[in-house]
Amino acid sequence: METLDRKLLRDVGQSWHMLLAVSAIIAVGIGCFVGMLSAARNLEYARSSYYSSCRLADFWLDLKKAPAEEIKRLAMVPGISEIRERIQFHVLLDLAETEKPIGAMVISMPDEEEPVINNIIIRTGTYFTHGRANEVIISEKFAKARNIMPGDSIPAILNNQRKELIVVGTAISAEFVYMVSPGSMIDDPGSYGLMYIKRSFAEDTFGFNGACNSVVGLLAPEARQEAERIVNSLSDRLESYGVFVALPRAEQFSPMILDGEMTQLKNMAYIFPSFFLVVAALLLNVLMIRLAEQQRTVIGTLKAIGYENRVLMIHFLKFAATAGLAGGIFGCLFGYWLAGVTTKMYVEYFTFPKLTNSFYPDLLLAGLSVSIFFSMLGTLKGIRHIMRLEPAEAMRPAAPPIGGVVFLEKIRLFWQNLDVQWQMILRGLLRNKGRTAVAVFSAAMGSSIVVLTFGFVDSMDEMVCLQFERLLRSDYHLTFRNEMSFSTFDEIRRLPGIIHAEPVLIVPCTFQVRNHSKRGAIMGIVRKGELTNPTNEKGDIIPLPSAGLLMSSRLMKRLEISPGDSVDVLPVKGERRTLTLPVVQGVSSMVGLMVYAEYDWLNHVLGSERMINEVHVLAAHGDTEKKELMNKVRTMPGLEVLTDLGEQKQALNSQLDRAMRSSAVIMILFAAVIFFGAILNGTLIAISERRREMATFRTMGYFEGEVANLFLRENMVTNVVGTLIGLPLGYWMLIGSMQMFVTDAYSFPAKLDAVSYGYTLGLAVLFVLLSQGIVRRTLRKQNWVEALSLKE
Amino acid sequence: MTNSPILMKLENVHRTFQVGEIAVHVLRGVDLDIYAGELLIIQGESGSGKSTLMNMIGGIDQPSQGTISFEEQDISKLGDRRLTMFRRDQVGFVFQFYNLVPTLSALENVATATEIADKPMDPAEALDLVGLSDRINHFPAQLSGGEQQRVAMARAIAKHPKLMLCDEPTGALDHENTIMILELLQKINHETGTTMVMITHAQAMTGMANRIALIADGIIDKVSINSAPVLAKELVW
Repeated sequence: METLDRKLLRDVGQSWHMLLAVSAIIAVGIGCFVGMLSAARNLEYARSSYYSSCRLADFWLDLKKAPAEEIKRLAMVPGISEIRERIQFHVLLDLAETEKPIGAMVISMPDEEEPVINNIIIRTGTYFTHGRANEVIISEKFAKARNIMPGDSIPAILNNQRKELIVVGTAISAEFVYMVSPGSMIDDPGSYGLMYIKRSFAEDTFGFNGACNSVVGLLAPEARQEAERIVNSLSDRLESYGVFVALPRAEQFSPMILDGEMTQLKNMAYIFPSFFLVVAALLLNVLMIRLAEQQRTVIGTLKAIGYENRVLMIHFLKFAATAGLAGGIFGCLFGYWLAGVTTKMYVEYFTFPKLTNSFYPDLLLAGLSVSIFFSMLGTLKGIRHIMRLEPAEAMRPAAPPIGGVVFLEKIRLFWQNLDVQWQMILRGLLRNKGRTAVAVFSAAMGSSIVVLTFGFVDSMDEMVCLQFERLLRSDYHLTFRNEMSFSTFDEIRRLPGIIHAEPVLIVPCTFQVRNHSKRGAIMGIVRKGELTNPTNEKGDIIPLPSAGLLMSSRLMKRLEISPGDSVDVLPVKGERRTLTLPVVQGVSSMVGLMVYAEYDWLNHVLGSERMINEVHVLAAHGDTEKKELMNKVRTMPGLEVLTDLGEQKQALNSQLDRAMRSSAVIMILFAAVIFFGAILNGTLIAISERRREMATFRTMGYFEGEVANLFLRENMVTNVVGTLIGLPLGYWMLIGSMQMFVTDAYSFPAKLDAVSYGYTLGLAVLFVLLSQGIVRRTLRKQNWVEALSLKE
Repeated sequence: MTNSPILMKLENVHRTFQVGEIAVHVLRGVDLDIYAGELLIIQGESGSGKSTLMNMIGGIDQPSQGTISFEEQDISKLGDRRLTMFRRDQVGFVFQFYNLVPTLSALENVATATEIADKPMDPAEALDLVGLSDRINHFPAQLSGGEQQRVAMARAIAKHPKLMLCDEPTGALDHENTIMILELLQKINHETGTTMVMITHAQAMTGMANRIALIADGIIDKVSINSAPVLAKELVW
């Protein structure tokens, strides 16, 4: 080993506390980088094999009803390589153990097993047999949640008839990696199921002989870039059959959510770690400058005896690389663990045949390289300092620090009321501007992460509040397959246990403005209703106009229109004539791209007689009343979906509780690493520089606690100032993150409660106080007698 | 001075430092009385144990064996808190390299002592006593070595200590400043009756002391009495 390397080892040994603090910050940053990218790759690999083994479709079209033969002919359309037509319906299950009917989607599958588009993978039991027509294969998650096994039978209301379905197997499908029930925001496996039934049985049951209402297809590889154009042309071609939905894969719910999650992971894998790495580089910078000053005469002597600048530069680069390497190695290990935890969490949300955590050597290598790169970046200033030293000058001790007044002293009333310790601290901070700036910046980064974390929790709470306490106040939504006359509403209103009910008409349609077009629906609700209240972003209720539309601001943006403009509306069902309707105002819409209109006005413009297809109700909560109501609802003709909003809210809250609060704890721990790392690094450097000063104080009769308090006050000033700067920074980051999460399916409000600012400040103070324990221990270990005899 | 009451008594004081596996015996049974109001000079070769002895007297270190009593109270086994109180209330230190806080002005450096002391002098008054009333707002970097040491002395006397310990107080100063500092020390000793213990290599300075203790190999080799101390300015160099 060369002598310089021996020196390096000893230098590292002497500064290990400070290097450890920096390494810990690097480790968290690299851990997040490696962890998030590995998790994204785990998802990507699982998705890729799942999609190909299930032959996931490139596009989806939901129709009212179309001849199967006509659909099959679409395979001839250029760009389309294969078409599959099927029958699918929302139905209600009449499970004995549940009070209320449970919803499910039935999808037809070929009677004989064949590798169709959107195929299923059998998990238990078998595919359909030849024996019975009413066999069903159910989704694995639903089966597990409801404890249903092959051999069991499920009573279901299919096309207003109660039928027993015999479970022959459970399955999963790449089409539903992530699934939520209609109108819901989260995956609640027990509340909604998938039922695959024989094609022949579906035809007979729903009266769809030779017909279909769902089309899925594959595109030729060269046509995939044009998916949207092809889907639109198909949609135009099938317009006469009533097209509800026409989506390329990128916009289909499950692939879209999965893509979104992976994109977010990848984005976060670059954004989040950079906080840690920049802070680490800055702290390392302070440490290197300190080292250069401390070793000034050594460097001078080495230069004098003939060491080249290049050799010395490499020597000091190695010092910083130690921190980078240690941080990188721990970061990679931590990242692998983090990817495991994240992947395990995804196993709960997403359904894959196999989703496991793998080891990606290239990502680990990238993590190590990034870590070493940032540590090198942190040495630049210190190295420049060393390179510039002339041997003769360097061998002389550095000039004493310059005294003089700082600007705060000009505020005499303030300055004169400070005790000497405060004056000393403030002068020190203002004279060491670079170092103070690094301490403040680190605290700002730490606090912005804390604010962001609290912001996530507050925003999710706000979302639940806006969705379930402002917008939707009903207990249940009863959704019918087809439009019903107003008498159905009257009938529901009079059901036992119904306190209040409001009629709703949902009109699926295409919105068109110039060359922009978007499929969606208009929801007709009653004016001054109690149960459904469109709001703005702040949650203020927006009164429903007597004529015209209230449109989701996101949809308005997509259509490039403003309030006062008109939009062309082409309903999917009915007379199918284009209506030009005015948009009165924008509204907030967290789920989907909602458009509201006054119920009677909507009926009027459609030329229909007070039709309904949904009823929102407020019901009594007593057990007997609920049971009686559900018994009536179960047998209601034409009812397709029963949404229990109370249950949804509860499920959403418990999922958020589990997911958000545990990740919040992890994020705050990460922020704590920044706070602790920066405080300890800064304070340990300060102690090593000011040993003599501290020894003098101790000799003069200052208690250990009083000496430690000098550092406590200093850290308190930098961290409180940094935290205050971090508060708005964190809020802007929150707004940015929420905008990043926006899709057509969801948008989230950015909300930060005032009290969260207080918590952040409280946490910052707590971190300073906790790190003071280590500061005091370090001070206790100092040999004051030796420090006193040090020459300046 | 030997008629004055004993302020501090060291009996059979030993101090051993463990260096790796070797025990280094720095003090090997020091017996020494320090009388109230005297100026005692401790001399000895490098490594003889004089600084360690000074640390024992000042309460910044404690003996491995033996007792040290101050005004008849044993301070050799005090806990950290009471030992700190002893330094705070009774001892003023003057160091060879001044040990001033570079970010504090002269006045503020003195205030670091007065802020924790019971009934201290006004810091400005202390600086006036050492002849620095026109430099109170200067920072250490703006003061000469002699001036810095005078600030350190002002810091030491401002809390009215009974015992002042000076470890080579003029070791880093030129002749002119050395005389000025010694005059000041003598003035403080005479006017306030503060007991002074000083370590110095300079043989000439012994002329101003009441007694001179010679330490060699960790024991007091000899204590001589100077019956006619001279004024600092009359010292022959």
